[in-house]
Amino acid sequence: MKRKALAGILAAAMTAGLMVPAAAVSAADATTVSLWIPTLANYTDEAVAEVEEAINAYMADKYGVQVDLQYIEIGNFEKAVNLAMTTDEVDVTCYFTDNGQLATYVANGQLLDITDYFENASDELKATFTEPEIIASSMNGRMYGLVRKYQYGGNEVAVLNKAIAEELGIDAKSITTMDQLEEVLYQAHEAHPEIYTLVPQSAAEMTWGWAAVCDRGIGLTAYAYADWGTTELKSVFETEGFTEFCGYMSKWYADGLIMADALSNTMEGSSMVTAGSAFCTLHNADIDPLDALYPNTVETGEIAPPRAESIAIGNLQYGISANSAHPDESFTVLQALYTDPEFATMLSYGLEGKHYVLNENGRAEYPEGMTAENEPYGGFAATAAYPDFLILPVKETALYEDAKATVEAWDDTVEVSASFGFFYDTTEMTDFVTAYMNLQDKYLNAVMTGSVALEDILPQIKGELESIGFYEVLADTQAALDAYLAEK
Amino acid sequence: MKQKAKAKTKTSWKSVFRHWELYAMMVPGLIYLIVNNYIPMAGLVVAFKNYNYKEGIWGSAWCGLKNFKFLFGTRDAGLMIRNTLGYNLVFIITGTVFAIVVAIVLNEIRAALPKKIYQVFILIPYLISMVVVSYIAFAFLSTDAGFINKTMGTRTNWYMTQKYWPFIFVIINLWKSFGYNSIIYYATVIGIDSSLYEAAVVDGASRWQRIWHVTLPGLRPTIITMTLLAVGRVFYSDFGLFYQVPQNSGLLYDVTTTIDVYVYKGLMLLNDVGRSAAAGFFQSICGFILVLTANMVVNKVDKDNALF
Repeated sequence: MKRKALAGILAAAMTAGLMVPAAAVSAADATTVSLWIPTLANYTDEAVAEVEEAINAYMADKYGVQVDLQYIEIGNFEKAVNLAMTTDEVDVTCYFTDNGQLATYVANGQLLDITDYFENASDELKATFTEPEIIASSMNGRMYGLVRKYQYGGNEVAVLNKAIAEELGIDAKSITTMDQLEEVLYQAHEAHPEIYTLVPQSAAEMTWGWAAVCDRGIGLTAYAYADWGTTELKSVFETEGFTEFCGYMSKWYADGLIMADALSNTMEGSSMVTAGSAFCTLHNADIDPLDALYPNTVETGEIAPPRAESIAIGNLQYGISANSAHPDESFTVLQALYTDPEFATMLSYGLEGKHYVLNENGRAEYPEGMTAENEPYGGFAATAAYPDFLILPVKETALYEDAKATVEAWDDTVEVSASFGFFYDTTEMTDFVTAYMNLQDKYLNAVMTGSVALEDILPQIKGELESIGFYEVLADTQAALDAYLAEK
Repeated sequence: MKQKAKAKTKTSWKSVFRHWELYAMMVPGLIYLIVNNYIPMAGLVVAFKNYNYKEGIWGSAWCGLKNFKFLFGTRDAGLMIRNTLGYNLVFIITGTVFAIVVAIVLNEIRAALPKKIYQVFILIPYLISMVVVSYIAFAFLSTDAGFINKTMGTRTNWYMTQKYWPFIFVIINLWKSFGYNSIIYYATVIGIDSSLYEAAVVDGASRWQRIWHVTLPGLRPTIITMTLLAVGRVFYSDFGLFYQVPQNSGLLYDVTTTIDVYVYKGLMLLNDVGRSAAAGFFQSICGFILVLTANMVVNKVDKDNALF
């Protein structure tokens, strides 16, 4: 009888155990808005909890909502958000648009149409965004998110190891062309053959910036490219800019300047340059000096001028999941991210006195003894991930006094894609887009790292492009672009 | 007749009541099975829908077989199906043979301690994550600092050369899985009636003859079961093996693209849940048909060892 009773108790306990997660979920607070942010730096759980507590004390009084901070490692961010968007787990979220993802999100019904919310929002919020920024977060005249307030596009520079540059008497700021960079790369290679001379900016990607290469993402598609300043669509492999870029890379790779394992590299170029295991990495840049971000480095002059592809204006946006159970509260939080400096500063920099301090000039810096390496709330080093850095206190390392005026001045100098504003609907072409992306993935990094010479492999690539019907699709896209430009 | 049926039902309920603790213990497992294995099957309907995140599974529009076209409508279809089936068949054959050999060798070791140590060591690779395996592989294959290039004095760029990878995959898969499989076979071997071995010794059978005439026939039911289970998964592939280990190197796509890898890449690009569900549905149906067919063949050849 005892055994029977024990069996019954155990079975009941196991059955109850199966039910616990369901009960826990249903107990969630209805007025809490989850906010998903990608991490570009390290955040400890304790620091995030502290900041969240402070934010919630502030938000409860001012807006009557609570915020649940969800920091997700940037490499997994897109996958995690996509999964979370199938339920009401995510309310306000960051999302990337650098590969034309906005069109996909809209086609899949993942993002809430916020046009009406925006039209009824405060004048302060409306005045925050320029017309190009509103276009960048809209599809077919409807708004789906708010772009990150940041400068349009970027320029291309190289980041050099400071010690080696000084040792070799290299004046980094005087390097403004690929030929000049080539000269110092050979110089460094000869003096320090024991380290990598040039490494990819990140993993197998030679550079994140396309200012020195070509215009891409035209029509918010993944396959339409053009040379800068032109509207003649081409495959990326056939643009002049890409061909020239890859010409340098294959020569440098053949001469042993680029790391041999560039295609299977998993490290950040800046980390290797900082650590002294590499001399140089190419890097996209903007108004913030990179050598202030990466210790022991020096930034070269501008190798390519600031340029913005169609997808580069606000290539990071914040929107509301279509499945959000609290769209009104979510928009309140979304609006506050761009209009409430106190909330935005707490979210980005953390707690004053603990994660950052304001010095006598009113500028923000790390508390004494704290650096980007040991600060527990990484937001101060990762401002680029947050919605609006223009309303935050200026950092001590910044080369400007007024962030907003500086960004506006920068934006005036940027060459914006000649096709900006054009949208080509690919929602019924998913098989083609998948086949194209696989093809591009197959060759892009290989030729951009110089591991394979573009000229050797181009006939094969063109053959494969033909076999998936690329040129027909490109012709249709070109016709639509021409019609758009004619109408414009 | 009715009375008989009534009496039978009564007896059944009596039996349930009498052994209630056994049925109670079955409940958690049953709930788990229903919640995790059966209810989600309804989600397969997504494979036939144009899934819209906002509309949800039931609100999304039907799209017929459009999602399945993705698997066969591109020029990569032949490539991914060839790779998926080809690698799996090689893995099944090499894995089975190697695991059986190791199980028999383990059985032939008489000293208890070394036997335990070997068992632990051969099981370790099975427990290592494929991400870690990918770094171990990189330590061997790196162009500049890899063990192989350093030892041989070469500068082979393994991650750019397709021809080596079918062999690398087979070696890594074998290294990772043989320990687990051989322990399953070993468990069967030690369960073989020892009197059969004694009788064979009395009859003058050599060690090799004992293996051939006693051990291998004793292993046959396990071999059939394990093979049938593996056949059911020939349309699946170890995603980590084909994606992580070659570091997703584009130049290797022709030999690394399996159905799972292709679907993953498509999903990452387009967040298309419908096509993912269609791929899973296709893999399950094909696996199911293959298991039925293989079991039918076993039924014809050796009825006693068929699964059902």
